[in-house]
Amino acid sequence: MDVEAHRKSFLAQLAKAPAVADVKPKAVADYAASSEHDVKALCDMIGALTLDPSSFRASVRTLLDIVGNDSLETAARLAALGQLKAAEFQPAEFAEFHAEFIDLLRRLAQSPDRGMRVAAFERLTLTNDVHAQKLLHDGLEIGKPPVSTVKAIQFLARDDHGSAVPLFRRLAKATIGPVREQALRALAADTQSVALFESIANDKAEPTRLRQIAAMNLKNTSPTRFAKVATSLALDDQEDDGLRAVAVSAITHTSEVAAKVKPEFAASLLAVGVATGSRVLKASIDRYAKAVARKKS
Amino acid sequence: MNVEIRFPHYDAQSRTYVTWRPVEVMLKLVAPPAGIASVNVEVSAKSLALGGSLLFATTLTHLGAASVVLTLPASGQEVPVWVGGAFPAASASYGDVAVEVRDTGTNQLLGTHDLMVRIRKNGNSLSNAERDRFLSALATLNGAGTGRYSQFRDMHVGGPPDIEAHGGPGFLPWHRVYLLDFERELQAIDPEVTLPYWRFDQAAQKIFNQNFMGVANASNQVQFSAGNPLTGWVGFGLPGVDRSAGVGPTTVPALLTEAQTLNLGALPSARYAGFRAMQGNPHGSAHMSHGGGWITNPTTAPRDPIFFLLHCNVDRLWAMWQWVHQIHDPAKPASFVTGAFLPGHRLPDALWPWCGPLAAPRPTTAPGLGMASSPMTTSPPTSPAIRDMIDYFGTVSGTHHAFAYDDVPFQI
Amino acid sequence: MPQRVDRLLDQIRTAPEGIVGDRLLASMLRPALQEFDGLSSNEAELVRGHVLAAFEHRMLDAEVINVAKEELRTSLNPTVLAGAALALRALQADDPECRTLLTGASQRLFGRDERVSFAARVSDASSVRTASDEIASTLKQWPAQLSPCCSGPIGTVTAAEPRTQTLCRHTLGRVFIEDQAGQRSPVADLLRDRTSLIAFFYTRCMNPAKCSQTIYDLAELARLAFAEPLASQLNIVAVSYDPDFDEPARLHAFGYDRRFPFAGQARLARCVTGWDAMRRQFDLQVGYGATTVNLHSRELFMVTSDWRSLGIDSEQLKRPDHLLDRLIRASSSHAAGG
Repeated sequence: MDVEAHRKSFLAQLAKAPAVADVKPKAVADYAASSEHDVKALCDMIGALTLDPSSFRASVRTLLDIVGNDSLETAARLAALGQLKAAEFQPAEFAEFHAEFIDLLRRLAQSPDRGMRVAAFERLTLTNDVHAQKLLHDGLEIGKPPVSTVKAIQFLARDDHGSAVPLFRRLAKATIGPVREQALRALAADTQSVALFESIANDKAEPTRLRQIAAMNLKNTSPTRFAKVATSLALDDQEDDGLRAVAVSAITHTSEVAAKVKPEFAASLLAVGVATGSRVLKASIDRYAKAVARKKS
Repeated sequence: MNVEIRFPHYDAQSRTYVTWRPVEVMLKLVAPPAGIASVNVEVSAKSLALGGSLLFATTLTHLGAASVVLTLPASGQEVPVWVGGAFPAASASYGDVAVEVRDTGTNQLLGTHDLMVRIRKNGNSLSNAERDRFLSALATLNGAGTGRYSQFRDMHVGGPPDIEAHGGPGFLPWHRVYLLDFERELQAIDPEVTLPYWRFDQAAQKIFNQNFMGVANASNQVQFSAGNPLTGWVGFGLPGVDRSAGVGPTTVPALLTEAQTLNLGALPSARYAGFRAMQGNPHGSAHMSHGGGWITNPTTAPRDPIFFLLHCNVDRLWAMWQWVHQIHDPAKPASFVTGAFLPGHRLPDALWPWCGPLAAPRPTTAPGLGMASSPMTTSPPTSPAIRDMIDYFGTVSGTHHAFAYDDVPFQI
Repeated sequence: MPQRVDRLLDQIRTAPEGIVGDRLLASMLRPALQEFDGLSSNEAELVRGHVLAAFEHRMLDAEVINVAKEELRTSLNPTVLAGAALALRALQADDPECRTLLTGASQRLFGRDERVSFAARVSDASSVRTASDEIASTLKQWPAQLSPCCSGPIGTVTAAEPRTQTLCRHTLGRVFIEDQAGQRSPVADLLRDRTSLIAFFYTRCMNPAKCSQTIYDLAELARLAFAEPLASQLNIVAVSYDPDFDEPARLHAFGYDRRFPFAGQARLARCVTGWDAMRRQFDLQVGYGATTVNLHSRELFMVTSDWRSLGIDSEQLKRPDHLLDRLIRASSSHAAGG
């Protein structure tokens, strides 16, 4: 290939590329304030607001005003919130706005607008905001969380130093369906739930998805007990092949689990790999075999 | 009579890897028949189908040819030849391309040497085998939370580390080192692996499916197929990946296109000062395109494995901008920007954490144990400075970083 | 849990005036306080910030000042930092160390500042200030000239007494630790006949200025010790506050990432039996939430061969050569029967 010709051709294509829309913060603010604005057009303008150093402050100020404007359409406010979250990836420039931003989100966590509430909790719980956590936890305790129960559990579970684990334990035992699944996920670092994980992982009557979650939780909390469960699952021809594949994969890629399996496991597993008709299980076993071979070499 | 082919670097398995950037290979005639002073040889490549391809030259240049003729003295004195991958023909696996040396007179094969043209590729174009190798290495590095992956997670958190990584124009060089360090850790597990990139201005059906980076459900839980090694991923605390369903198999995120990004800072003449605006869009926009989850906040983003593919594309865009505008020399003002920036964001500044712990208010700890070494190069140094990360192809410095992108050629 | 937080905040707001209230609030600064059991880290820190803030118009003793300074030294939580700044506002005279710590805390808040409000202070939204504002206000109240004395509204500040206690070898004989390599031994065997430096930490600690920094610094000291023949008999151990989670693989990964030079005399460990006894023996300042630590101090102890434990300011780890010297002297002194 003629690299220089390629470069020139590339440059020529670049010259034809549509220009980036030059949307000024004032134009967005004025349009948002106009009673005749079109929501989609406003969202597009918000999306086109630049966050380059020269217009950063003005853009962020405009975005904060839009997000905080309870009379504006939710779609526009969410678009502005997305842009603000993107602006956080420029922390030096965003620093002067951070306190105001968090304060705004805390207010929106109690907004009557469900979309804004969910978005506010989504952001606040990523950084373990205690005020957001309090609203979620209080709500779950009385059965009226500010977002769906599943979402509330998921958001609270983001904090591995949280206080909601006793609640998750209750929900994992007392509920069914998506709530139970989410509660089980939320217990992933709970060393007091090891017996529960083991029980679900071994119970063929439980849905495969739950058994997989339980198995991964067990790996996280007790590699020794997981090694026992996983090797048993992997070698059991009566088990779901997908679950077996996940178990083998976990053994392959977790050195402290691999160190705890019995020496005869490898040979037994390789025999399974030869005999099985399941592609996914075979592929998982092949990866295990390669990992073992690499370790030996 | 045969010819010994010696590449400049080998790994512990006696294998060698090249990128588009040629390396100096030495040829030596061994056991020639008596009475001859020299032998003319043709040096060329033999490629398997869909394998890599090579270019040859007698100097460091991008204008290599499919073959070159050399004269090898019977004395056994080494003769150099420059060998690089022939853009855009990257390898798919080790040994799918080889250097061959033949006697021009008899066409006798005198020497052969397997290698790999090892290149970072579009994640959406990987073969299943390439994808699976990457995922396996990635899962091993993760080690369910206790592997070396945790260092990379801990380098990219809120507070002082966030300022080091994102607090100024050092953003791109910082992430270039970060990705290179990460890739070298992967290559320590499987040397044929490179970091793929997520080309975020296009739909990526093969990336966002359960066999690769997974698909998020309505509960922000990323679903992987049963055989995907990422089923055991532990980003932080809890197993699994917390990501919203903002980007699916057919989604084209709303952000600057590649062309628009490359045009940043291009007029009236290309300057980094303008290009670095890409930190906002498309970089920040790419993070936010997922809608929610770890990837959408700087403190939590590396917990999601898609983070590495996202940033690989960010770096590729920088590399492409450098190539298109021929700006690789850190001595050129256009290659970086001067000004009153925070420490860690000026051209001569060493980059944390590779420089070790610093005094407050900068980070006083340094996860990562220094830059991972590569058997293929001695560059960049263990504690790289910003200026060390600009000329990654070694166009002026003479040493290269041993990585390249599938659509960014080497050009001097 | 959140309702418990509300009750604790009420308790702070309604603490009586005078010494009774001062002592009640001071007692709430102990991380091991039972009232904090089960709280999340953030909840515990929120309460802690409010306790500190309540000292704005109260008598400060050495313990409260030291707590405030330590938070300014290490905390990342805006509420705690604001509370510490308010607590120190009660100091009438400038303290150069406070000034340095306040400045450092303000720098650490860059990019993560938040508006904070304290139940006892705020009556309307317009007076809500950020943590940086509170720090700046405290700094501003002191004159530019340094004053030789440092005193609260009443009384004189003195340095907190170092914690000393005699450990019970029989109790510690029943406490077993497991190190990063999976080697188990009774703590009593570890401590017998030698001088030890024992730090406490946990791998899930969210504040890099605490446990991560401690292990980094301890690693540096251990390297110095390996190079010093006189230090060959020293033990350098860090024990996890989180024994259920910090299995050997996690201990090893944490230490490896921080260049900890694992060797016979230098290790990271967890208790496999008797953790509660260990806590009591050292009177550890650590509290627990539902699954892991919620609050802890930075804790470092020198234990000599006569089973005496002396609490050491963790800041001394920043001068590992001096601390090593001190350990060697202690070791030699006890070896000589002194």
